Amino acid sequence: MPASEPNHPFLRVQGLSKRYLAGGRWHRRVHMAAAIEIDFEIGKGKTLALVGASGSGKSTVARCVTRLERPDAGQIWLDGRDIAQLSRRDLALVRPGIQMIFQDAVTSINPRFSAAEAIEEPLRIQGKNSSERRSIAEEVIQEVALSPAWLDRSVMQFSGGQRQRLAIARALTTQPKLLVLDEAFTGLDLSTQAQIANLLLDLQAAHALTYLVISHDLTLVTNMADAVAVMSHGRIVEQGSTRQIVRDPKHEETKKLLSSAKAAESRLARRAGASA
Amino acid sequence: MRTKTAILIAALAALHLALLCAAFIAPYDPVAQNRELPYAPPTRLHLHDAAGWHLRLFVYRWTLGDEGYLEDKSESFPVHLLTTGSSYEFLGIFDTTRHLFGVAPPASIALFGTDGFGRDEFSRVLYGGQISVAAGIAATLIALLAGALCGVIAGYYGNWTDQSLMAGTELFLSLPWLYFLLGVRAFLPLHVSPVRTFFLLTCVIGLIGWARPARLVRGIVLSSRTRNYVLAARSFGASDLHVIREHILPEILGVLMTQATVLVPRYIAAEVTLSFFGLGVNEPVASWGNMLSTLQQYSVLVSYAWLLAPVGALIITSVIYALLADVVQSRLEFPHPGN
Amino acid sequence: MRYLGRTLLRAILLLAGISILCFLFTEMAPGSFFDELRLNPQVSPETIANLRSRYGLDQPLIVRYGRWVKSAARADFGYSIAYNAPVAPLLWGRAKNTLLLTATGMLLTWLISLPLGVWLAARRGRMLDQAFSIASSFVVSIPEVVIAVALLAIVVRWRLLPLSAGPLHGEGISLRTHVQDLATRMLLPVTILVFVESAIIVRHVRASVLEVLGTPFVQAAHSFGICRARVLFRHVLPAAASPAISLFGFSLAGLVSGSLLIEVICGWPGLGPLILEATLSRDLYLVIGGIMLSALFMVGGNLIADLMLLAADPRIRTGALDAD
Repeated sequence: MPASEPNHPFLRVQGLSKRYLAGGRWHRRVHMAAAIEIDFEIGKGKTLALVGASGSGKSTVARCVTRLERPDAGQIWLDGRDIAQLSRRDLALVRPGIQMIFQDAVTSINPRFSAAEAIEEPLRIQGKNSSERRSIAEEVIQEVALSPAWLDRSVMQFSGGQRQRLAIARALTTQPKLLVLDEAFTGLDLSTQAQIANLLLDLQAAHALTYLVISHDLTLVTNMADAVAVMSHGRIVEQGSTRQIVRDPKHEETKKLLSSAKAAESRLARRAGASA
Repeated sequence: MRTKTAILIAALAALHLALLCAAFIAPYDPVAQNRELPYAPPTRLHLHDAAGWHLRLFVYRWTLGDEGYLEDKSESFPVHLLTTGSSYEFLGIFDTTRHLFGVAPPASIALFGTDGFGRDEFSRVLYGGQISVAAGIAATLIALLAGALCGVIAGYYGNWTDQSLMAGTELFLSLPWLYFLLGVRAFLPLHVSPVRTFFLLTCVIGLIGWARPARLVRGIVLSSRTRNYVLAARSFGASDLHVIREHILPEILGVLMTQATVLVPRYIAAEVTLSFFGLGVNEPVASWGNMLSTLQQYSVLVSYAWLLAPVGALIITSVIYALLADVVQSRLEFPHPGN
Repeated sequence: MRYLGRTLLRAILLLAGISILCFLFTEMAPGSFFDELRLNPQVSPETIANLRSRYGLDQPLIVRYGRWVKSAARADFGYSIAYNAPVAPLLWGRAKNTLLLTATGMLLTWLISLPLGVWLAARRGRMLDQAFSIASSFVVSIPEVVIAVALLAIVVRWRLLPLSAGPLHGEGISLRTHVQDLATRMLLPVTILVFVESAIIVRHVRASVLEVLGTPFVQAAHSFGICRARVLFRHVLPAAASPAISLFGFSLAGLVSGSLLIEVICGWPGLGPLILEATLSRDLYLVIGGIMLSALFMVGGNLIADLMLLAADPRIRTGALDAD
C-alpha cells in the first residue's frame, strides 16, 4: 500500500456500520443501528469535527476508529492500512499510532495513581522499563505545560483542566499520529476549554498530528476544525469545510445545531454585557 | 480517629504476639497433668509476709486439705523471670527451655488456676488461643481467597459465569450457617490426628464462607470494569490481566481488608463452637472451644469460676476485632467520582 | 404479580439446590455409619451388605436422589439408622419443642425490641442510648457460645433462675403442673435467646427509625408544627416498617436453626441436640433431614418476608425500585 502522500488522506473511513444490542432482558433484545454507512476522510495534520446531537452515533464512530469496538461493516484506512477487522495481535502494532482523549478527565484517569503512573500506563503495557518510561513522562508532561516536579503527585491533587492535560500527555507517550477527542471539552469551564484547545493546536503543529474531534458544541469546533461532518440518527447528513458548513448549512440538523450554538453565544454575550 | 486506630491495632498486635509466643509466656506444658492439684484456685501472688515487704513476688504451695485448698505458709517460693522450664520449640525454629516466668518446684504458679487434671489453665488459655485464633485467621484467608477469585471471575466475564456463580452464592447464603457447618463436618472423618483436624476444620469453615466476599468483590469488579479509565487502558491495548492487576485489584484489597476484620472473629467463633461440640480440635490439645465444653457441667461452673478464663479471652479478642472492624470500615472508603 | 412469581420460583430453586447440595455430601463422605459398624468384629460383612441394600445405599447417586425426592414429596424423609425409626416423625417431634422455644423467644424479643428501638432512636445521643450502644456492640460481636456460657455461669452462681433437667413429658401430670414445669425449664434458654437477639434487633430498629427521622418529609412535618408523638406514629413508624419487616422475616427464617447452641447448653430437648447427636454418629438421613427442615424454614421465612414487604411497600409493587 502506498505510504501517506501530502494529498493522500491519512484517515479514510468507508461504509462504516455498527449495530448494538439494546434492551434489558434477553428475550427482548433488539438490534439498534448506531452508525450506518459512514464515509469521511481526514488529511494528515488536519482536523475533522464530527458533530451531532447526543445519540446521533458520533461516539460509536469514535470507538470504531480507535478499535475499542469492532465495526460490523466497512473499512478504516489508517495511513494506508485497513484496521477495521484486524485481529488483536495485529492491532497491538497499530495501537500506538492512535490515541483517544475521553470526555471526563476526572473519570478517565484512575484517581489512585500518581501523575507519573497515569502517564506511563501505555508504556507499561508496551513493556518499557522504568527509566525509559520516566524520561518519556518527563518529556510529555512538559509538552502539556505542566511541571515535571509534579510527576509524583497523586492525580487527586490536579484540577479538571490539569487532568485533561495529563490525559493528553498520556496519549502522547506512544507518539501517536491520530488523536481522537471524544467530547474532550465537556465539563470544563470556558477559559480552560480555550487553553486546552490552544494546547492541542500547538501540539498538532509540533507533531503533525491528525485530529478527529467529536462534539455537540459547534462553536468550539469551528475554531479548531478544518472540516465538519454532521451526524444525525447514525448517518452523516452533511459534510464539508468548516467555512462552507457555517456559512451555508443545507441540512435541517446542521441548521439546528448552528442556531443553538448561536443562541448560546448570544446568551453569553448578553450576560457578559449585563455584568460589565 | 487516628489514635483510636493505632491503639486498636497495637492491642491486636499485642494479643497475636502473646499467642504466637505462647510457649514462651506459658510457664507449663498445656498437657502436663498434675494429679495432686486438681481444680486448684489461682495461685496468689504476695509481696508481703511476716518478715515484711519484699521486692520480688512470691507464692506459697497449695496443699489439699479437707476443707479445700490452703496455702502452705511454711515455705515461700519467689517468682523468677526468664527461668528454665520444660523444653519446647520456639516458633518451630529452635529448641529452648526459657520461659517468661516461673517458680521452682515443688511449688507451681497457676495464674488462672488448674483444671480437673491439674493442668495449668493459664498455659492452656495461651496455647488454646493459638489454635482458635490461627483457625480463625486461616479460615478467613481461605474464604477471602476463594471468594475473591470467584468474585473476580463472575464480575469480569459476566453473563453465564456471573449468573451461575451468583446463584451459587445465594444458595450458600440462604443455608442455616451452623447446621450446614455441622453437616459438612459430620461427613468428614471424625477421628484423625489433631493436625489433620485443624486443616480440615479451617478448610471447611473457610470454604463455606466464600459467598459473601464473592458477592462484594463481584460488585466492585462490575463497577470498576465499566469505569472510563479501564476503557482508556483498553484503548492503549491493555490486556485483561493488566486491567485486573492495575485497576481492579487495588479496589478489591480495601474491601477484603474490611471483610477480614469481620470474618476473623466470626471464624474463631465457628472453631470454638465446633470444638465445643467435640467436632473440632479434641483433647488433649487445648482450644478455647473444648475448654468451654468442660464448663457445661454445673458443678464446675458453680465452684470453679477461674475456669471461665477462656470466656474472658474470647470476649477480649472479639471486642478488639469488632472495634477495629468499625474503624477500618469507615476509613477504607475510597472516594470515587460518579461514573 | 411477576415479582411474586419470581420470588416463588427463586425459593423453589433454592430448596432444590440445597437438597442437591446435601445429597452431594453423602457421596463425598469417606465414611459412614456402616464404616463404624465394620469396625465392630461381631457384625459380619454379610449383615452389613444386607443393611446397605435394605437402606438402598448401594444404588447409583442419581437413583438415590430421585427416590429421596419422591419420598420427600410424600413427607417421608428416610430412615434413621441409629434410631431405627423413620426420620420425619423424629424430626418433627423435636422440632415442635424447638419451635416452642424459639417462637416464645421471638415474640418476647420483638415485644421488647420494637418499643425499645423506637425509644432509643428518639433519645439519640443521650446517656442511655450511648450506654446501650456500647453494651449491644459487645453482645453482637461476641460469639453466641461465649455469651451462652457466660450467662449460664452468671445464672448458676447467683441462682438467678431455677434450673431443672429430665424428660419433658410425663404421664399422668396435670396440665397445670405440666405448664409450670415447662415454663421453668424454658426460662433460662429463652432468656439467653432474647438477650442475644434483642441486641441485634434493637440496633436495627433504632437505625431504621433514625434514618426515617432524618428524611426531609419528617422534618417538614415537624416544621408544620405537628406534635412529635403524632409524627412518630403516623409518619415515622410506617416508613420504618419496611426494614423491620425484612428483619422479621429473618427472625422467622431462623426459627428452627437459631437455637441449636442454646438447646444443647441448656439441655432443652429440641432439634439441636438431635442433629448434633446424629452428626456425631454419622446418621446420614437424619442429618440431611435436619438440614432440609431448617433450610425449609429459612427459605420460607425469607419468602414470607418478601411477600410481606410486597404488601407493605408500594414502591416494590410499582417497580420503582427496580434497577436493571
